[in-house]
Amino acid sequence: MTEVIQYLLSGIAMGSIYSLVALGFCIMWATSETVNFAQGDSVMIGAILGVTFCGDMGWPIWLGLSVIIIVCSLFGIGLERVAIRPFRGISDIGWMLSTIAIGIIVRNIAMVTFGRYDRPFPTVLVKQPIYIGGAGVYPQEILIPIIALGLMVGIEMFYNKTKFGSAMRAVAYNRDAAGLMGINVNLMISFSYALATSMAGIAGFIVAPVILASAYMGLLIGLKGFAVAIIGGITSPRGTILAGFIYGVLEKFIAGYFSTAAREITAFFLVILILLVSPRGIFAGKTRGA
Amino acid sequence: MLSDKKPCTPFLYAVIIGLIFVYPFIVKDRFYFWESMLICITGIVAVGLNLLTGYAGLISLGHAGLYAIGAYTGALIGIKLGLNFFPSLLISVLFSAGIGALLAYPTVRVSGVYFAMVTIAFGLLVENILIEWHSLTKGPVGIDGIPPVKIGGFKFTEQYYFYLIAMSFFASIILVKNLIHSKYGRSLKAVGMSQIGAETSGINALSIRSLAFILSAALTGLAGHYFAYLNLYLSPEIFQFDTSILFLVIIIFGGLGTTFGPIIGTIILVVLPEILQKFSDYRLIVYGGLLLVLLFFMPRGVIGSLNQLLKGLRPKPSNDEVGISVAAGGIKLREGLLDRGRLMNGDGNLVEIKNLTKQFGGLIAVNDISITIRPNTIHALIGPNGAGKTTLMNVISGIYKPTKGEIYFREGKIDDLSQSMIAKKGIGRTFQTTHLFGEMSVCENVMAAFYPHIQYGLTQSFFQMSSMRKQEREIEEQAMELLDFVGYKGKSEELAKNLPFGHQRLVEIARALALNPYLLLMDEPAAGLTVREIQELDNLINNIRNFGLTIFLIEHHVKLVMGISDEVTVLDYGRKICEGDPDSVRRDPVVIKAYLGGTVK
Repeated sequence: MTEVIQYLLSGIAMGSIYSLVALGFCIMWATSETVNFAQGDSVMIGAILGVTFCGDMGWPIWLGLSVIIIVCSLFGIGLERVAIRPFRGISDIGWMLSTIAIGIIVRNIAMVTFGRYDRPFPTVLVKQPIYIGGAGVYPQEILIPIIALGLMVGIEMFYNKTKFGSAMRAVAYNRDAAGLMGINVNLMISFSYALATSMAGIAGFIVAPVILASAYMGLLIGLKGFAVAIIGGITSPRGTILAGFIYGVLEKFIAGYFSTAAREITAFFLVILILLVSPRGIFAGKTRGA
Repeated sequence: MLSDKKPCTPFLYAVIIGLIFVYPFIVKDRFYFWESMLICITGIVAVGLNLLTGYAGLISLGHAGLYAIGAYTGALIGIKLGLNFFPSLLISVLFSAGIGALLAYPTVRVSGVYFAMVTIAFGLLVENILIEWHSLTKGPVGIDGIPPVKIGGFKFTEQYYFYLIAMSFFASIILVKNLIHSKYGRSLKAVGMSQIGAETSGINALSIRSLAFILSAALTGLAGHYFAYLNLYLSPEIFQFDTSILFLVIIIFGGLGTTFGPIIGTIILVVLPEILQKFSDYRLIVYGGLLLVLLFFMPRGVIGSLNQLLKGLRPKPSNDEVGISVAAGGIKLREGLLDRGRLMNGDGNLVEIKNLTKQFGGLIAVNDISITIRPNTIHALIGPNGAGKTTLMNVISGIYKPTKGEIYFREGKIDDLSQSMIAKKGIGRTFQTTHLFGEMSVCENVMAAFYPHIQYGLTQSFFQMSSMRKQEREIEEQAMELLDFVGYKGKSEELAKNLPFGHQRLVEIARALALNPYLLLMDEPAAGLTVREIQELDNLINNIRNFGLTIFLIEHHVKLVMGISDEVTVLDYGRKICEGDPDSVRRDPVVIKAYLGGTVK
């Protein structure tokens, strides 16, 4: 029983990370119908900047997090300008490979500057585990889903309550019509990229204390986030968030009872299976907008 | 040699084989020799991936998985079962092709990012199975002790192994090139450019994509097998996600969908890491940067850009002054063209639509409609915008499945058939906005729709046998004849996307006629045409009817409709409100009200 609670809690924590990353995929897809294969590297940027600023240099959390959000937003905007806009609607393989290329560049710059080894991010929230029903979890692991859910609610409100959010929904609904209504479509796409990458950056910042930070950490998180977005239904943000939590919990259980490689085997086998049964994802088409 | 169109002569083949033969005597350096073999092996993967991504437009991010399967299968069979190189080669290829077939099932139904996702998942799945299955693969440690390549008592030295690999690479290029220049290649390209256009031309998109996937998997498996016996050591690290990316970069670099692109791309990208060594830690940054620059400035790759350049040098064909002119009757066409309608026997109804309803969520687009189409008539479907005309036509041609009701065509039920089956049964279709294959020539567009009638098979295509070439020539002539028949007077080798709108429409009609249909469905054929062109269209439709065909058309151009139709059906809000000959329909008060508003007296 202790194990079950343990896996469940850590699974929810990791699942929130996948949900945040995957939600980023939904946001980018909604406005531009493109996918950023460097999304995982935004998680990495958040994590290693967190370790560097708040760990090594002892900055306060608020300052570190603000800088991370700014850096990741700029990264998103720059990436969209360089790797997406020239290829959007012209060549799928173009933006797939250009974002992959950006990922390779960023990852290796990080490796050169940050070092090639995994590094911990020792905060007060991972010093002492707390015990819930006999299962030891770090307070950070409890905090992660809370922050993630807070962010998701914030985004939902932004989409539904603000004029800018409405404009983004309009672009998601019909790019051409939104353009004719005087909405600056390119600006909205740029902004959606900034939003998605900064969310991933925050995810990296909050998850770094629990898992180690490294230059290559983003690759698998990004691919898993993409898998979650696809099986959740990339047009369905709520479905995607749910799929993220389920994915996180499921993989903790498999890793706990079997092994890490078994975790990936099962997960990716399920991805193929789900797409076989439901080619547009499980929840696609049921909800629209964020 | 750079252009795909010029035939490679046997002389050229002989020269290449000669070069392969002398190569080991020229390149003595062991390292370069080894690299050359790696280039040939990777090149085979590139040829296979190019078939899938370059021609069929499906972007695979998991080919490293198939490569790994070929390599591990070959190595393990050699080690554990002690089987000879060649029998195990056969097993590796068949096994990879089998996995390809299994994988094709979920993947070919989806495209774009979904396809990419399935292939990513597959690649990671294989990689992790290799790590996890210790008893078989020794996990991350990897396997060695792969036996030397032998046939009987003859041991393959590096020189002979090079001959084998290089000849396989050469053969794979030629075979794939031959395949591309057959009905299969045409269909593959067609499906990649417009799935809906391909399906209405009688091409089953799923089976043609599966074929591409399986062939691609077989070639990749073959390359994997060769790699195992070259490297003599395998570990999961070799077959990571990055390797799948590398394969894609190779074919992009060389030029997607070109015959010789994979060669150039492979040479550059196998040699590049050696050059980048001097950047040590920065080499991958440089690599990523180069990739970005390439995508930005040379999206067509080396060969694609060269082809573009050569094309620019040639005088540009001009279609501007060429009008449309349809012969005024008395036309004769050769046997096999437009003769099914005339040869049809019996005097039953051609199409019977019974109580057809099509609902999208809460919207009932077509509501309980019954229509009978008599053979050899011109039957028009009219009605205000949003009346459900196109929806009805889409249900007939199989794009939508009906919610309720049935459709019979020549006494057979067709409403549950796939689009391509319906096309094969003899229902041609044109669209309001044309669905041509933009990057294919006008002639190829029409030739594509002969697909269901072409007899030759895969073997004939792979080897460009004379029977196959003869049929291809016939089909080309027939396609030209149809183009002439519809009044297209432009260049037949022009790419379809470069045509003015009116010409595109004619080409689409010619393509639909290539099916040798009984029934031709036309969705607003006059939309966007000039007055003169409409006059020609009028003649054309009459000519088609004179060949015994039946035409069911949606049209807003009242003069055209009333002039040529035998029967007119009027829809409004998804319901049939009137039916009859043009004159009675024109006077019907309900129709007048639907079009002009007001009340019925």
